[in-house]
Amino acid sequence: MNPRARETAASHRSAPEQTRTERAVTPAVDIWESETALRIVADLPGVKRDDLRLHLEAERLSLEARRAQSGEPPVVYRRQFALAPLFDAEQVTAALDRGVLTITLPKSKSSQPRQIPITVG
Amino acid sequence: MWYRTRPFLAAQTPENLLPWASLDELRRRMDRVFDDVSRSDAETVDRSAAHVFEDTGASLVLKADLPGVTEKDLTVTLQRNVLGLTVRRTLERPEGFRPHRQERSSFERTWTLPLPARVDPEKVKATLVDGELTVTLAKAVEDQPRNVAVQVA
Repeated sequence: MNPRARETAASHRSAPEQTRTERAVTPAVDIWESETALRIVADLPGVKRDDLRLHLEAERLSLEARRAQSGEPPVVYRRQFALAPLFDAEQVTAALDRGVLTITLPKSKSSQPRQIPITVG
Repeated sequence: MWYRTRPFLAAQTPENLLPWASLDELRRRMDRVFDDVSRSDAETVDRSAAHVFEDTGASLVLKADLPGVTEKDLTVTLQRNVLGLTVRRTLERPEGFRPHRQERSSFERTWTLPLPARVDPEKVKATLVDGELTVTLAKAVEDQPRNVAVQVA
């Protein structure tokens, strides 16, 4: 198969919503968990802060970023994450540095592991 | 899948048919490099924007996606019309975290790319912005396309 056909097949598989005016891309991500937080790291080369949208609703985190390119249809990075109901939505932070997005979702106090004191009766 | 093609803006004249062939060769070499780099097991990850090599007529332009790479992890050299690029990305496990999913990868690669046109060593510009590398190499005057005035007898 020629590279162009492979590319088309790949983007159709990952993004059935693709239109003629943009190219949808699924970004590569790493997901890490500690006792107190979940961390999502995504490669978003060429994306500026103002072109990135993060949306957290119920147990779903959506990422959408637009990358404008001269002389070509823009690339749209999209990815969604289903989350367990463990996180404190108010405390979520995100940083974009050199084309790498880092989202940190702290776990709510009640979902963190804790030591249960044992009383001797 | 790993690259996209762009139309070349240079005119198709017999003089630059050879550089065109070389440009294709250059792209194939870079494809191989990026194939080596791809260790991701996620089939859905599309990296088609990984790099672009373009001949704009007055200059050669190389673009590569290098998210997370800093200036100190990147070396760009030009010697005898051969462009050398060395780039490294080292991903480390954050302290206290365990992995759920790892699609991003560390890499260290060197490219040695003979250029398809002579370039002016004084006019090479490399920028790394938002994880995207752009190297612009101005062609030597004698390798730039020229308009030839047609004289009417």
